[in-house]
Amino acid sequence: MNSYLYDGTAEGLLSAISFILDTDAHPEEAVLAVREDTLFEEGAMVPTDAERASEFFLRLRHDAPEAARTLFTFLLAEKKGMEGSLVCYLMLSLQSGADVNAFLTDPSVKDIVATAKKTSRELHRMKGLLRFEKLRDGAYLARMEPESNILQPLAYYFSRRLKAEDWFIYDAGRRTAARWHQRELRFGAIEEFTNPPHSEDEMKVQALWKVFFSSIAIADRKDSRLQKSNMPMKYWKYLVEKPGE
Amino acid sequence: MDTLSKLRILSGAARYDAMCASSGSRRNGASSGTANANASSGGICHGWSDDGRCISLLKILLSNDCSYDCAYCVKCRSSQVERVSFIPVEVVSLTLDFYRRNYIEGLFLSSAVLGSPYSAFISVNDDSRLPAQPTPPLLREHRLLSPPSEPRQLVLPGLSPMPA
Repeated sequence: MNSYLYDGTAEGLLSAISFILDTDAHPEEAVLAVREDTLFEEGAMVPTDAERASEFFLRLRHDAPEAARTLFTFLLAEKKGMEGSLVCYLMLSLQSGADVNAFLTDPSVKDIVATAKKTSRELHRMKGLLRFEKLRDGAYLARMEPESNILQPLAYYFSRRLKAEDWFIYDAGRRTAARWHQRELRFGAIEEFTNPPHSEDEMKVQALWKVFFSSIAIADRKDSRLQKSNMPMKYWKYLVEKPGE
Repeated sequence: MDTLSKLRILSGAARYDAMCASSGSRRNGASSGTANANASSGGICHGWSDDGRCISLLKILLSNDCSYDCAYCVKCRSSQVERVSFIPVEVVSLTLDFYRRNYIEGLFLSSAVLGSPYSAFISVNDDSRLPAQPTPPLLREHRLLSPPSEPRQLVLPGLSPMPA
């Protein structure tokens, strides 16, 4: 059993996995972890090699396209401590090609697929639950705090849906933002975020939405358990109709 | 009456047939224009109301001022409910304002029978009262903007005859 370390980035992770699969005789037993600043390091540091990482990803996309998609979604989850499962999953993907996600009895496949699924569920939910506010300069701003780092695929989705508007999506937890301006999508980090002023009619429209939301519900059939299971309370913070709850 | 009070009455009147589906529709966003939807063919839920049902479309009535007197309907002519009607421009700006803020996927518009089925179509089709904006996606999709080529009186089983 060999131990390896990487720098914590996605590129470093893929470089290390590619290295392990190429050189280690028993990759399924390899231990891979992020390098911490401790006195005694356990394991060999695998240097990050962007070229190697992208070569590996292209090979995976060619040999097992579904596994490449799963890997991408899995990386968005930013889960630490699952490197071992990922090594086994990717080894299996390259051996068996397209069907790897069907091997759910394999614990590593189950772990990776379940985590990726959780992320894609959150992405799908945010496509509906993201709320834009109109700002004084006519642009729109949406704030969110998702568990996974879904900003990038979410912004691509809205670049098709709200093509003619200018907008920002701000991930308050990670302090990253996407900006769609003049048909161009950009990503960046935001040091300090201050709430920009709303447009004049913003509060009026929000009031209209709240009225619609409350009067479309059938009072006799109130079911907050069902509501919360479909729309978990962790997303309520930025909802116009359920603010601060 | 202001839009807010109208919305309260006309969305409340539609609450029993608030349908959740926006799935199955496919359209590509136009390169310009406002409501250039790119619907997800799997459908998107934008919220869940207090009774737990999914809200995907803005479900409202254009009017609850009905000229029929159907025994089963709460909005029938002889019923004592407050009567209101949206003017088209109100429906258009509601839909676009909600769409741009990602509250809804589109509009699902129904109406009581204002005079005759034909005149309800006329009122939706009255372009002169619409602002210079593109048609909201679902209005166009369900062809509510093209009225029947000639006035036809629809007599459906179960509906009381229209007043003269």
